[in-house]
Amino acid sequence: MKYTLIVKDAPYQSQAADTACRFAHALIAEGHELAQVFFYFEGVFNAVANAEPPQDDRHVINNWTKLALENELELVVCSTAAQRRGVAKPLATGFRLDTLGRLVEAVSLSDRVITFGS
Amino acid sequence: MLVSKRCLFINRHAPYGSSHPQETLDMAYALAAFEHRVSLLFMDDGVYQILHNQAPAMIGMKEISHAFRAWEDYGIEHLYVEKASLEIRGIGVEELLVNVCLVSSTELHEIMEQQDFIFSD
Repeated sequence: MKYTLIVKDAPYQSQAADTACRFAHALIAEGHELAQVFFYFEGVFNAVANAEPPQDDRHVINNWTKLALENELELVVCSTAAQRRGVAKPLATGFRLDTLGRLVEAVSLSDRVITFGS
Repeated sequence: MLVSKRCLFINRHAPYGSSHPQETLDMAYALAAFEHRVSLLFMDDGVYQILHNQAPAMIGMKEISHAFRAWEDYGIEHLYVEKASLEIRGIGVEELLVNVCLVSSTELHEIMEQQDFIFSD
């Protein structure tokens, strides 16, 4: 099956971003296809460059970068939402800005669209 | 050619406490603009989004309600409101700024089952 994931919470705000990233790994491991991960609302903070969490904590943003690089994925950050919050640049590796139009396409291609975050 | 999907947006938050209602609306209208079959549902505190006489400029917020007035022009198929959410809050249909389709929770189940995807705010 083909999936699109929407992430709406900031990293460390809740478990949503962690769960979304783990879910992405799991569905790929099971042989499904990930069409896109779309970051919206406070989810755009997942794309900030230069985050430095304490060494004994997980690095949510690096986990996304790893997912993207290992699987040649699209991590799409809504440009309007990112610009509104001042995080449009620089973005961490693996993320890129695009419009809601990219989500529209992904929804069209997908069998499942799953939202993470409140 | 895009494959058209049936999408239901569930709006459960009051209009100006966060930017979520505005951004949810942006997403819904973007999907509707590109051939997807989009419906909006207002329930719980989300019903406050479609009240008459909003004056958000007083708290420095942008009015979102004018976008609902023209919902059909944006290609939205249905605008549902959960009946019980209005009753609990003492809101009458005459206080809403648009004509809506009032639905019971049983009808909501049916509406949700008809969708391909459900988005919540």
